[in-house]
Amino acid sequence: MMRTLRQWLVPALFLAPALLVFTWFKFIPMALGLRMSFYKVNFGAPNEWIGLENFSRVLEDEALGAAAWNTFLYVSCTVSLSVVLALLLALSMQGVTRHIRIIRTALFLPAITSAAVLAEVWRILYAPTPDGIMNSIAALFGITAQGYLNDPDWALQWLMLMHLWKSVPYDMVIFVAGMATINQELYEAARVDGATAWQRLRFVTIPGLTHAITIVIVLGMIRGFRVFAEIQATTGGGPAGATEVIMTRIYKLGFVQFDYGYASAASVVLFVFTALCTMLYLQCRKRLEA
Amino acid sequence: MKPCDRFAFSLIRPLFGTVVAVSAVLASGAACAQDSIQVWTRSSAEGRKTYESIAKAFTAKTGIKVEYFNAWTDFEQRIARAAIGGDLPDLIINDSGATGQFVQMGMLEAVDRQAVAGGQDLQERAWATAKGYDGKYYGVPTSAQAMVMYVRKDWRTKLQLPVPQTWDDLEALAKAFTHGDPDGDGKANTYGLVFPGSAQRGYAAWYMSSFMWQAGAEFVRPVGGGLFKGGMDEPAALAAVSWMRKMQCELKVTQPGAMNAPTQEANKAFISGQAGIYISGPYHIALFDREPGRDKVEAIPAPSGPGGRGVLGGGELAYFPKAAKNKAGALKFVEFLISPEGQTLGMKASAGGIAVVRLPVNRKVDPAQVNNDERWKMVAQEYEKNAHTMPAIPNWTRMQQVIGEGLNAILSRCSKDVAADLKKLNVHVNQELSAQRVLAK
Amino acid sequence: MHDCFSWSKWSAAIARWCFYALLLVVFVGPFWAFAMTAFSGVTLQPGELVFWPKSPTLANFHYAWFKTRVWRFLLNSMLIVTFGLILQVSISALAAYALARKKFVGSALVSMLILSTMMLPEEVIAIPLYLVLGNIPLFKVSLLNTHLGMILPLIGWAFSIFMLTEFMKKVPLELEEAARMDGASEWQIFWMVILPLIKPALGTVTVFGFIMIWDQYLLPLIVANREDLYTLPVALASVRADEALPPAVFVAITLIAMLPSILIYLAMQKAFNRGLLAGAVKG
Repeated sequence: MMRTLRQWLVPALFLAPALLVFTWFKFIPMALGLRMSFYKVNFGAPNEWIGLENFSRVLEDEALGAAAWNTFLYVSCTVSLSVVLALLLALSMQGVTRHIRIIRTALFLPAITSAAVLAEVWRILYAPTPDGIMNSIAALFGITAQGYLNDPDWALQWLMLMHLWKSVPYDMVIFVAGMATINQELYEAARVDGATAWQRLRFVTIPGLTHAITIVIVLGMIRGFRVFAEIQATTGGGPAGATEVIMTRIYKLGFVQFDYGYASAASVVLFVFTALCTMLYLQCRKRLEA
Repeated sequence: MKPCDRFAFSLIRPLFGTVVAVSAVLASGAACAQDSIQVWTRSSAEGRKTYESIAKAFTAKTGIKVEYFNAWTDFEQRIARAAIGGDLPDLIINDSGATGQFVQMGMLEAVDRQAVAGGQDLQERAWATAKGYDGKYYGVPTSAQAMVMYVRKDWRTKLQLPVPQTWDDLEALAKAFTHGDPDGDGKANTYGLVFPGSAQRGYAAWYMSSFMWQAGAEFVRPVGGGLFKGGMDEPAALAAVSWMRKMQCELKVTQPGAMNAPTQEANKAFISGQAGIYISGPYHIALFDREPGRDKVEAIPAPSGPGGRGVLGGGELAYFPKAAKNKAGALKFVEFLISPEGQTLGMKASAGGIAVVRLPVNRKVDPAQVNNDERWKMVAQEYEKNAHTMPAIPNWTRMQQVIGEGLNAILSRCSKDVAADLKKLNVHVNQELSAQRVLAK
Repeated sequence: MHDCFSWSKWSAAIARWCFYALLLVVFVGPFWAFAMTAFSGVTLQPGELVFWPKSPTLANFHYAWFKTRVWRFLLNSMLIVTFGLILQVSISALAAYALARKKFVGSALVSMLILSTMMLPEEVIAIPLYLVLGNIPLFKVSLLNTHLGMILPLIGWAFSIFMLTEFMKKVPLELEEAARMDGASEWQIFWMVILPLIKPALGTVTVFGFIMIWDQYLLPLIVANREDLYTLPVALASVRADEALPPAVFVAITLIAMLPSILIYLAMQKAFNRGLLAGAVKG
């Protein structure tokens, strides 16, 4: 018994500040939010208990289902592409490039933009006029002027590109930090053994980066499922619902229409789904490591 | 753990408590003034300056202090949060479109028109915007407005075209602006009609409303007894939407990116000279006078369509929350605001401010005289003769979102069968009416 | 032999410089064009991109500084970031130590709990958070309209805990055991053994933490009911929706808002140096 308590003493002390803050400002609001999902939230009058009605509405909402599909596409494409591109970029930042401060700083600029600025900048780039930037570039390759964010068939893909513009530098920084912690002696040993650059990459760098890759993938997933601000600021879920994601739908139903109970219920479903996916991924990783 | 760390840890709890308490005290400030009211306004920082000049005159007259809070974005969300948290102010001044929502939220006190001193001087049309769907009044109008059409006069005169009066004129003018190189720079970079067609916040519906009324259509038709039925499947609605589809998809005379444009982008399109025709509110008169410039822009009545004339009108209302602490003070403030003195102060943009009263709701005040600008006479006439307001259903915001998304879909995909798509949209409209319990059987 | 050597070196150099140019254009180009609108005296068309300001002027910045008085928002943001960041990194490092280096029953659960705080969309938490901030459980005070209210909820951030945990896990056990045999206390191990070895991660977490706090929109929005308490993101949203304001002023304020993030990143470059000097792939 004392042994178990002893085991907890030090971790508890170290975890205390974080857990305190989380309890007050995250767990309690989350619990309140969960509670709201069982009610119809009224403003002058007390809330009405409606049990699981909000949840059944959520599961029956077709538009929400379509939004969930869009979200799934968005997450899978952006996370996978971002990991690969960020890794490539981080690798290219090794060697000679390390001296060129401007490049390193410049690459980081997209990572520090907020969603609102991101939307503004890309709205300019995606101008559907023939002399808009993207169209000018497309013209060089002989592609006709596109509608970009106005095109219901491709708007989601263009938004993914916009997301990558920001997430690739962001993830690159994490990978660079990860590379810094790889034991240099491993590289020396590999070189001595006559390993090629590709072999060094496969057997030293990437294994050394598993933690960084986990971070990037897990966070990419979590953030991707609840993506909101950048989509709301550019297309608001349009045109014709082509870029509707779960959060834009929840926002419209819950906040524009003041149905907080429903918004909470939908968010709880999103939360459960995200948690399941994350746990699944972490379990898979544990299996692979063993 | 080292002794000094343990000591530090033990200090934290009481220190935290003290810091929190001290900040709370410092932050609460001088809230407990003797007789004061809290007023929340949906206005920008410049609008607030004008409200403050009104407050100054009011305090001088009655001794009641006014504490303002203004917000431009997220206003309704703040109100909702305050309602849940029990922090509502004594008075809320917001766009008249919010009436249905506030009433549905159940947070407003009904207004007795007779009890408002000077209320009989206000325009009947303005009072109408304060009516809830149950027939009671829930606010006092403080400002009115009607949309007008802004046209690039320099472009029009260069192409030698008359002032557009009808849809056909508008179509011809838009075509000319798009193909006639009115800015003379040799490039095909000008367009005709500015159309904020984004699905965000239902802008597409908000903008189309004027054209719907010009076609004699209604989004939802009242059938009496506080009930409505969807009007999107009527021939008039088909005429309006088909015409806009023609402008957008066939003639391509709207600005590029129209389908994703919220009003900020639409404003930029007009100001920068990307497009030359814009139906917008009179609050833009001052902005467009600055850029593109008063000599280049003319403000004229919106055109007449197959069903006559019609534009979106509206205004601002003062709402009285049930949970207010100083109801008497709030009423006095509103009475001052609707008096000729208050209205005039509201219309004159005080140093660095902008007008918070566009058209006076008080019949005794002449807008053209106060502003020294004949264009306001035109706006007042439009308001009196042709202004329509959004239907008085419990939650128009929700309906506007539904219709906005539907119209955005039809126009952005250049629908091949508008009638069928409108029928489908009407089903959604009726579903929404039913959810709000006002669907006529 | 000599010719081959210099030709291949030359072409490699050209390829490299082309690559740099491409990177610059792709990642910096849009910003540059965006920034140019702030220096322009006339409103640009939606989607119009310029590489030099149209009628260059500082009027927009003048307007932003003196009329909109952007310095108030700048001050608020700086205050919150300074205190918030220090607390956030400290708390995260402490928590990560426990999760990464200590085996105890329930550590996986705690990890999952912490990670779960990132999974609920903040827009939905906003309302309950507002209620909590208005009446803190147990302490019964209101943190609304206070700077503290804008700082405290931010100092717990799952991202930095998660990231520091992963990096701390990689520190070899031998180092810790050696220190323990030398008689070091927990705190000493934490402070003198583990932390120095994860400096790159600390640097990263500091920079990302700075960005997260600097760009926070929702929390200051619900806490601040007075304009003079607004932080930059809230002020930006308000300015953007203001139809009476010249559009370029918004861009000017955006640029002012972005500057500190860039400066912090430059300052933190040292922590990244080790990663880039690794010479992992010899060119």
